[in-house]
Amino acid sequence: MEKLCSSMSFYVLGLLYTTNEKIRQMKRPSLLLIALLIVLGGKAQDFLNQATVNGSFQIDAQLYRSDAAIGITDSSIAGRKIGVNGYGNIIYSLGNFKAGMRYEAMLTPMLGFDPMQEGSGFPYLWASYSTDFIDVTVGNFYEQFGNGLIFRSYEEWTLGYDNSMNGMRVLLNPSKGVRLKAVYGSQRFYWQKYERNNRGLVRGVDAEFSFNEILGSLEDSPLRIIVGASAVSRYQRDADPIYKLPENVGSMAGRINIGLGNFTLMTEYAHKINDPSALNNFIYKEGHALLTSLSYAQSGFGVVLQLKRVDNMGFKSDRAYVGNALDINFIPPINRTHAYSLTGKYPYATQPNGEMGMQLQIHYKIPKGSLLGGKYGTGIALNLSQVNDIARNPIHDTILIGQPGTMGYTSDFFKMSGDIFFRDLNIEIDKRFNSKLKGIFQYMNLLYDIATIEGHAGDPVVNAHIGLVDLTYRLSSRKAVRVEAQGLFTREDKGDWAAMMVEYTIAPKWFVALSDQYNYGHPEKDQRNHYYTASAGFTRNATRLALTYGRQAEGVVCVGGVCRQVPASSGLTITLTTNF
Amino acid sequence: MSWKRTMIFVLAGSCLLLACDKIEPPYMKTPQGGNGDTEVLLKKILLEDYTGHTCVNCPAAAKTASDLQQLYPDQLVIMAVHSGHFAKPQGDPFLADYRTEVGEAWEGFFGTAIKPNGVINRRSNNGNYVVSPGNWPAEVTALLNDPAEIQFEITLEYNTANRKLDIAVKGEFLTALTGEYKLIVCILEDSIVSPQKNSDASAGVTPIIHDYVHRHMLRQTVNGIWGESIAVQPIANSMFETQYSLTLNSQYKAQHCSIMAFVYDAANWEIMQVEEVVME
Repeated sequence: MEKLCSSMSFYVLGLLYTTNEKIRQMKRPSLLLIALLIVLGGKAQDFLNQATVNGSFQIDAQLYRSDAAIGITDSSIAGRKIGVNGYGNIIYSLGNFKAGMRYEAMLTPMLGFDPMQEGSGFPYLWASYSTDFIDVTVGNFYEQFGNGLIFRSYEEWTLGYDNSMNGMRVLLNPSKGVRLKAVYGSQRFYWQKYERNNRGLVRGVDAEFSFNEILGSLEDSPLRIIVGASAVSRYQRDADPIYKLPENVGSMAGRINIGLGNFTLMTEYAHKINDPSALNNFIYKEGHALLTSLSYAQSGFGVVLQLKRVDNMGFKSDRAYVGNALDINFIPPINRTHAYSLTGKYPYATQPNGEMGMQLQIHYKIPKGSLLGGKYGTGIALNLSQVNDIARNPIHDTILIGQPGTMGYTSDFFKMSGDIFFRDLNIEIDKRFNSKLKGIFQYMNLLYDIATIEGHAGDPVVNAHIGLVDLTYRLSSRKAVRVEAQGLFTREDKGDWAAMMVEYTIAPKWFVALSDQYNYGHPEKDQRNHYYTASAGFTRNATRLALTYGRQAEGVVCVGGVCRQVPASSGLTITLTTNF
Repeated sequence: MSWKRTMIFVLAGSCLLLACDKIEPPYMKTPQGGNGDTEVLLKKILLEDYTGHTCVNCPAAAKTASDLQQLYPDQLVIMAVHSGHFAKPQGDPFLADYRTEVGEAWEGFFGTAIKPNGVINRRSNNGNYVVSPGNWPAEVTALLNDPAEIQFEITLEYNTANRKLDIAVKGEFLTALTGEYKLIVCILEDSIVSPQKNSDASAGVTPIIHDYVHRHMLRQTVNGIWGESIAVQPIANSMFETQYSLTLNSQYKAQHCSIMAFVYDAANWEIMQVEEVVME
């Protein structure tokens, strides 16, 4: 019976896969469901009754209005008064079999999203069968090898980023402590269907060995060792009339995680062969990346030191593309992600062509009852990160650094350039004063090279001091008021900012908030604008509705070092999410 | 699965490492040139370079276009469309405004807001017209052998005294075609020296090239944003002819101007043929 079910599942799985492209064309998944029910015949009852279905939906909509004060005119919103980004994600499970789909509609996309995202359909369709030994997925999937230095496919809705694979994936657990992965396919490029030679194909394998599981004698050892290795290759036809381009570009990476008591050391090194591309200006130098993290953690205290070196490691499945899509790999950021509006105003974007960075994080909880700890204890977090350019030397007196059609440059692995891309020194104190009042206090010292990070050549380096106070006062067991006050002080870019926010929450369902960002120090007086908003939200079970009316300042949104520009906008924003 | 099988998997995976093409110098291909020696009349290619003076990557893209035109001088026509955010006048020294009404309209229609980007013969791939500069060489090369279905020539008469310009476009449909065909006639100006942002040292000084030479700049169209119809369901060897008369804008340097015209399929905007004639 189990065999029957398995073969049936694979039959269904195969049907899903072979009809994948037709579904994309028809955009009518209901036909698929009907076909499945017909195929299953008498098993239809089991198909429905013994299965579980879960999923989620989200709709983000913006209703725009002209707002001349902040430069928004009918032409800047191109006559499109409404932008809508929405998706529905559904996963069906029956025993070892799973299948899922995601529908997306961006008609038209909200401002700040790539115009190529305009469209609707099912960009993500998949089916999988898994046991303890094997997990096979056909269709679309996300996967990551190690830290992602040579392969990571993922989706980030807030960025409009999706580099999902369309192909096949096999995960194997051949013996205890051994995990093997193999992937093959093309990557999503907005709504453009893969066709022969219109972009590259990605092939990869990964193996990971957990020695504490493999060697029984180490099972209870305080020393924990995990070793992994991966290889990824991209095939893309060379149709270029100017450069000799490698059609197969290979990369490999090795990693090791060692844990001993409270210490953990993680390191991964990646190497990529010559990959001339639009991203690296068609140079033939090999790529390297090193990511290392050493951490120590005990109750009330933790410290993390991270180091990173990246040299020519942009890796896309279309060598000609430079935008936020088709990345085969992912360079993890080692900077703090700030959640407040002004501390997050200048976020760092990873520079795959070259960067050398470090981050030191220290967390300490001053014990309760001590002089500084008080009745509830006090949390202190110190964070320092800095990213410099790598040092580059010309390969010849007559060849410019980075000149297309050459090796590009040489670079000493341990040598850092004096050019600082980004520096963030921040300290945060988390203090509860009494049973009703608690606060967060933060100071941040920032250096931000706009020219490099945002690609605005000639723009000045921003040196800023940022401070914030976040106080929450609990009025009752369900009601609380939260007040944020922030200041950003700089002579560069748009000058000084101040921000205030007041939020009233009635847990667990309601919140209302008023906020304003005031760019009072803008060098041009007529640009000293207020960016005010009024917002409210309602939550019921797993459904949340939030409305925001007002202005949004121009800025940059980054997730994991990948960023998108957000233009100034004005109007009403609606976000509706639900899951089941 | 035994260790033996595991190792087989790992070794098989390692074979991916062999899927590497190590390129040895020289890295440049020997220029092959165009296909001018063929007996068949070939379609010319229009590369529209959507650009702007504060777009830091645009000089490198313009260089790519220029390199391609050197490779295929008889078949490739370039038009630089200054449009969108990066073409707006900004603080000194970017005070010039090279945007045009027609360029803004095309940008909105073809979706070229992100720069640099191009449109090649206005061919669509699943509704996407945009081709990134890294793909220009391959995309242009792929079209080099397409036979022409339309041929036409542009003749000009220009009076330097009163700047009166007469343009005549006369052509022929070489094969019978279905649908409607339209003609757009543009005035391009070359060698406009004006500041340009730049982030690529191999394309010029960074961060600003103060004496940047803007090439193939779209100045205006002669017959509107989408041109005018020249034929519906044309039969083989049917002819068309149009004439325009105008006074050349005093801002344009006549000696640097050219008249570029193209015929496109009104059903899908795909360009069927393009020609360019310099004024002097």
